[in-house]
Amino acid sequence: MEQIKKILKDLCDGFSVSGHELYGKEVIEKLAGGIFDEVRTDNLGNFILVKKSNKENAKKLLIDAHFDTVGMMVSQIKDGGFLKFVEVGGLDASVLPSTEVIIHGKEDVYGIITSTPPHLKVAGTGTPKLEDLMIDTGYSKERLEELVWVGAPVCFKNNVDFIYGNNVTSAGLDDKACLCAIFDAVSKMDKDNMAYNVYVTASAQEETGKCGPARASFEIEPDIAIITDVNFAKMEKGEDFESIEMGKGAGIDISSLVDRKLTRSIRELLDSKGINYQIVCEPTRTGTNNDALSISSFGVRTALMSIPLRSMHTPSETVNLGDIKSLSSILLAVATKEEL
Amino acid sequence: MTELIKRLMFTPSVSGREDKIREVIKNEASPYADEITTDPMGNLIVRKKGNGKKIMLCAHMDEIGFFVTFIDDSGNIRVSPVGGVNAISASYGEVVSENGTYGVIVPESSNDVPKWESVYIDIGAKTKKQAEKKVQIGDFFVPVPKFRKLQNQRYVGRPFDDRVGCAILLEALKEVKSDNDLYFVFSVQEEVGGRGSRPAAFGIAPDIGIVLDVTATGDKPGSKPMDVKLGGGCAIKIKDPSTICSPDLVSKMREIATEEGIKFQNEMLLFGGTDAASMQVAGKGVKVGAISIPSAYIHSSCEMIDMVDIKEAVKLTVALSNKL
Amino acid sequence: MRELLKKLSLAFGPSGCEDKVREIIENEIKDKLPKGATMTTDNTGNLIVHIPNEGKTKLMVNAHMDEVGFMVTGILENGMLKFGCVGGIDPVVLGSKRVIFESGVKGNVAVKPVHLLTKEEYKAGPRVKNMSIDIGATTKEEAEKITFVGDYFTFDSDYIEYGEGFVKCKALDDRLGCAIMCQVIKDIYEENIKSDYDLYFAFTCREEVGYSGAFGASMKIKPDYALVIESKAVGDIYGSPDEKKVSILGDGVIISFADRGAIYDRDFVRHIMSLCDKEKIKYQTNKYISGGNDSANIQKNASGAKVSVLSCASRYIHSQSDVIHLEDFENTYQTVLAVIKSAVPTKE
Repeated sequence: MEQIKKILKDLCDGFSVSGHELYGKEVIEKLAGGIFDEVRTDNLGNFILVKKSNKENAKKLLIDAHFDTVGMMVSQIKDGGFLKFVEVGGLDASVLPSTEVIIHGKEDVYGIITSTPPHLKVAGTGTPKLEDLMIDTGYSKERLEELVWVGAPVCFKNNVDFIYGNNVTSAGLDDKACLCAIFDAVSKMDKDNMAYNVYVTASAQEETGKCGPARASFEIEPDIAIITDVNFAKMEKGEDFESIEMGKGAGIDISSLVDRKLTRSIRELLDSKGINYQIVCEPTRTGTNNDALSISSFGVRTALMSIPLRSMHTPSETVNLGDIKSLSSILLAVATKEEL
Repeated sequence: MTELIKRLMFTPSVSGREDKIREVIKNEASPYADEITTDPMGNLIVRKKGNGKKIMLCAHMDEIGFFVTFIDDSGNIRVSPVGGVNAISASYGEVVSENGTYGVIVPESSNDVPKWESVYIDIGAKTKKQAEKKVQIGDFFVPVPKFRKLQNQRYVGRPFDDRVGCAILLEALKEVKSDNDLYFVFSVQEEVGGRGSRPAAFGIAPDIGIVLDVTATGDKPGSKPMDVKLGGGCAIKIKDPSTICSPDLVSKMREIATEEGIKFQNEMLLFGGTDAASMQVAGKGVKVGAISIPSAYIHSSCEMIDMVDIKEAVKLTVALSNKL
Repeated sequence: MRELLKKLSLAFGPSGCEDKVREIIENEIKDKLPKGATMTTDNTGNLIVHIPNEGKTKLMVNAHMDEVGFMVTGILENGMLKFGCVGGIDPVVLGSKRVIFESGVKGNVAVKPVHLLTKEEYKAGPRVKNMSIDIGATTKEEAEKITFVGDYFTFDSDYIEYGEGFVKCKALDDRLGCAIMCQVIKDIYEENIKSDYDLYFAFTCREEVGYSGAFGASMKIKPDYALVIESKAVGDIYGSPDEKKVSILGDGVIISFADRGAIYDRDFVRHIMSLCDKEKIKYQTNKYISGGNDSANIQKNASGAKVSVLSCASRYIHSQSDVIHLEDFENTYQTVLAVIKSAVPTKE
């Protein structure tokens, strides 16, 4: 568990607002160092990490988690040190006021998203409009123009906190929790036992709909692929089948867009090894990288796995460390099993 | 150059029916090209060979308009829009078909913002039979092309989107002297969702893709907030809802523009999209950027551009082709 | 061919679960493959029959095997099943319909009785969220003996020919295309037809959910031309305005010029129309632009292809009662055959 905590902290500290994944290059390279044989990047901004099996003619297994996170970009520089911004990926404007952010300009600039104090607010104005919010940097316009530029990416100022009940809270756990599980699993893979050459994509632009691994798959041409992403965790009790429970293990998704046979054999494998998992149903689309990856290149056989997460796309996403561990064990089991 | 722009504008060609404009561009480009091909979807690909980087420069040939879907017994013609036609602007306006038949487009009711189900084209026919002599189901109409000089270097008319981009590429093709392997692509079907540029980019598999297209401005009453002004120079796109341009390419573009003394603006567009979105996800993926031409009243019958911006865009296109 | 249409339409095959349909097709044509032809199944589960004519223009004929359906998403304490739709289904056609699982388990779509509906609920119309599947179980434990979360099911429907030349069944979209392609492959074998094209027949998966197998298939084939055989949703019922009927059942194969997803290649469309004129095959155009199909996916995939779509007009599509006219079905088949026998279109 200590390894998971360490990887997770490093990943969450890496800057990777969607479209700007290469800003986090150092973090990925440092983490991948002892684990992978090769690290490369491509035109879209994907990191492609390779660990080869000692087996001859091993097939190719692609494991994907997206590295990018939701965030913002500066759109206008205004008087008094205020910045107008646009969202990158889907943000909930109702949680933004008073949130602390970092603008990644010539140097990191600290700022606070504006809010109107309750004393001055007209009652019942509801969720603020994104275009009415600004970032307050405290600088003069002149100084600010030297430090940042229109288009500079902005992320939530982040603290990774390990909290009660084996849980962790941080920005960007979507999808760094899964990426963490992948790093943990691959670090434990023994080259002599690996049934596949493993290609991990820490992929770009999931939050902006560009599906990084679908680009990488043209180059890798994987035999099978596993996509890992977070899914909504149950927040209230009740018969709500659209979400999964925290702390009960990773989810295996069933959908018309995953490969039925692959999913079935993975479940059989896990059942035989006594590894716990939950079932998630996404009848039509899954809304993850799975969908576009499945139709990329010549078509890819995919399976989809998920980690339950609370408060998605906010500065305080929460996941259970046990679920990360669970996903890691599942991936480890899959990578050593032939003929899935 | 205004002559060229005008000629391109007066060759109506909606998405999926780009044959005529393709011929015009082909004739214009052929003296300067090493190789010209048309791909299965109809994209015109003009190559200038070199040993350097593979760069795809792309502007779309198609324009918005209407397809004829139904002709009633009294000779009224029902249509379906091709691309995002501005309904307010098109209503009660003159239209012309691919074979030169003129008519007017009229909404059933003059009170509401027209819906496309309730507009029709009247070409003066008395019966279905008469109408069918001039117009077949599947034919296209466009709002009548217009081109007029106003004050300063400003012009109003249609369709500047994206015939100015095509004209800029043609001008750049004439001027460029580069070691890079350049593909000037005149794409089809952009207005219906970037359908042409993706297969073109897949076939070419460039390292870098640069799109030339129009963008909105923030200096007219009621316009969405943005820094771009008409006449403020060409714009270097950073982001629109469909694309985040590759950050390293964007900063390289700014650097080159600054070195060459080219007047440019920063573009963060809050709506719309371009071929860059589809090129970015072609095959293994492409690094994309865009040079935008500020234009007011896009997709209306009175689009407005400033020649100053176009001249800067030509300079930047040439500079990028040489120096990237 | 009607027998085959019946067999295929009744087969179980919602998107992502096309194995049974594929099996029927394989068995139907495996002994009728022309010399040199190959039959393969790819990663996505698409069945591709290649009748080679090396170096010639590649024509991909395409129909999708999957149908719309449902998936169990959860089991309630009272033994009822919650579900989601696979593909686009209007909840209006759902209430009280019979359904069948892959295992043969049957049930119905249970709704709140009309007596208990509030005025607001009645006015708002049915929603999938408020429906559940009744398979007869009264407890969760009972239900779990015969069903699992993630199980597929479809409409339980009969194949019925009615009126003057009409037929109704579930999944005529797009088993009619599959049936026509099987028949054409058999014709090529039996009549020893030599096509001018390098021919590919792709029976594809997952069309109804948008992320279609046609992507992978066309990436592999890289066709020059693609001909998609589909059923087209039309509204030719009494009282609907002429300009919104789209097309008319019984008026012949629909040779469209565009839909919401693709503008078809004009020269190819005209080529097909002239073939129909020559062969005296009854055809119509679409008189409204709507819907989408695999043509969009094939057209802009890889380096692009020239596409055209032949469709059979269909009423009440994506329900337990898709309706087509057998004459249109026959005309569509004749047209496909004519295209395959014709010379590759040349530019005028």
